[in-house]
Amino acid sequence: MSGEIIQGRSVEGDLELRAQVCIVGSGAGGAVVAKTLSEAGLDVIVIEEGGHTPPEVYGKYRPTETLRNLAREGGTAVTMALGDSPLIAILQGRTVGGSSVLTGGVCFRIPESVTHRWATEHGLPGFSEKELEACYAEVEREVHVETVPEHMRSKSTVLFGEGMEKLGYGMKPLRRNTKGCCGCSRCNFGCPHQAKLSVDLTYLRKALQHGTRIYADCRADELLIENGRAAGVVGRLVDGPTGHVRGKFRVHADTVVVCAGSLHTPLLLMRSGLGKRSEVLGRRLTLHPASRVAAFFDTEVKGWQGALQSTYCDDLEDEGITFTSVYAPLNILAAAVPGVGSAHHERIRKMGQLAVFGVMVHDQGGGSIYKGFGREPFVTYRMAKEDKHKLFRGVKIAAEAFFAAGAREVLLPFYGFEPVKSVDELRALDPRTVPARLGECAAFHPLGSARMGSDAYHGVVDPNGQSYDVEGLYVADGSLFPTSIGVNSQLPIMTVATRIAWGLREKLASKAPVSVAS
Amino acid sequence: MSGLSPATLRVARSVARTLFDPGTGTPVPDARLDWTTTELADYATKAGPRTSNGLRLIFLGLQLLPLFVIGKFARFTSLGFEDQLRYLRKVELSRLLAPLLATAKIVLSIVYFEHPDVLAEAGVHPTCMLPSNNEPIAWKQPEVSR
Repeated sequence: MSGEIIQGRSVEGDLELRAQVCIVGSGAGGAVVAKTLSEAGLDVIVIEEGGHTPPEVYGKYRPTETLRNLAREGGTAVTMALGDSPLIAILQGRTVGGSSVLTGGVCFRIPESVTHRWATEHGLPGFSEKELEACYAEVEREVHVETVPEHMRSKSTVLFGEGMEKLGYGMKPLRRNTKGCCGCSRCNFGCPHQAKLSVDLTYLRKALQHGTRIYADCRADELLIENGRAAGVVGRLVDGPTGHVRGKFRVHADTVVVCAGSLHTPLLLMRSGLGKRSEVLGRRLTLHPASRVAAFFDTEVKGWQGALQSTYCDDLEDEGITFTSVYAPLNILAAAVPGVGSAHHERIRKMGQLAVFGVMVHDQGGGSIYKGFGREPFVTYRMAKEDKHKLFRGVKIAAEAFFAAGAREVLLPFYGFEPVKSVDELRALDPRTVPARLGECAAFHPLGSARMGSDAYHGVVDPNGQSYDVEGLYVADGSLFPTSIGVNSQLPIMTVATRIAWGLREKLASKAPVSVAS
Repeated sequence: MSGLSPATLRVARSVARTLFDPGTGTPVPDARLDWTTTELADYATKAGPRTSNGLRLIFLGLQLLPLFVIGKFARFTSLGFEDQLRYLRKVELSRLLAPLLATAKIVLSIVYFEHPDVLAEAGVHPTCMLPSNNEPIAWKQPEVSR
């Protein structure tokens, strides 16, 4: 029996649906759960707020078309800064496949130092690499995790690496979920060659083969709860990117798995009246704030030629700072080029000589989520003092690495600051003159807003993803991570979701209907 | 409310004309500015009401602040071109107001620099941003099997 993708924008009237399992969200976590449970013969429905855009269509989009059609709020969601904190832009997918369609594909396992902390400080054993090995192996096989070969490093990445080595830091190759990547650096805007194996190309295809029904353009408003048990989900059919409501839906299911992402999972739980016992629902959101450092060289760089992300440096992992290669389409980079009029134009003409690298901070977690006035949450973020120092230190090291590699001008990610033209000028920069609120930051790994805990006060869900408040309700996305993890979150989310899905499969498979998918 | 008003789009167009002026004496072509404005309007509509409202405020701020930045009692769109340039340069270097221009620059740049003529002027083949099966890929590597 084959499943199908139904688009809410094409449905006339309201929808009344039934399934054994309703999954909210079709991103990294939701796709894993859908595939696992439908393979076991369960009747699964996935509800996805975004639309369905096939990869052969989004692969031809210009970057802003991707942002308009596949990213939440056109990619412009930002946190409200509290105190001396930067505004942080959070890129999230809102499409079948979720944010996995927009990632750079980088795959890391959760560091042992992090899972050790989960076990010893949070009462959450069972997540070490050894204990999760079977889950990691399955995910890495399904999405084809491979090391980026050296010949695919862009010149931008190579130059930065040379500079870092001169400063005494070592670079390591990244792993990504790719197969047949040709290095066009468009990963963040949808791979044009279907070489980045996002979940729409992998897990969701298998879920469909086993009978999963995916309803796109369906925005979940509230969970149905009867006598303390999950009973389904209600929401609205929306009309594509504008979000205009055209109808309602109701899904009846006695197992509900929420995988709406770290900004929307807590929102859905709050709107459903949950989390009152816990001190942490919607709190302790971690973001991995990241900044880019760019540099102009006198030689051709053409940084878009090569894998978008291919190397990283974790020599300062103990300090909570990671350097990761990155690039962007020229229109995105042009936005960060300083100058007005002719000064801007001169730099734009030399974009072929621009190198870029990223700095990411393993943050303490100063984010909070509140119900907003419309459909989007209101997110605040207070950056811890230590995190501000980490960001500034990371940016300074990256800038110095570019100078060591021969850059003639370095663009720092601080609003209101001119580019620096020498390492002496850089070293003279006093952190006290650079308030954090002037930092240009983005976040791609929001985590922790509906975290696992060892009890109902310290966690929203238990270590198996089961809600402490409602029987039959689970969470299986990044929101359940109890701390920041300091590395890209795609693989960890899918791995923990696999662990949860296997547990659910064992629990529910005995209730599977007789007629199962082929 | 999603989308940008005609008044906001007029300000955005004027900011774009100044921001992206090449300084060669030949201004940015009107057709390119029209394209940018149309794309920006579509982008703001699809991004949703929060983004649209934010952009309205930002362009309103840029429109009304010349008095406080360059001492000219005039809206941005009424300033002469040289004053517009001077104003935006000062805003960009102001620790207080820089984020305002930075946000305007981001949204204007991401649409403006998708125009194929603009890329060509930057010496960049559109392949890097608009790849298709019919165009050469940007990076050659050994054949890999799928």
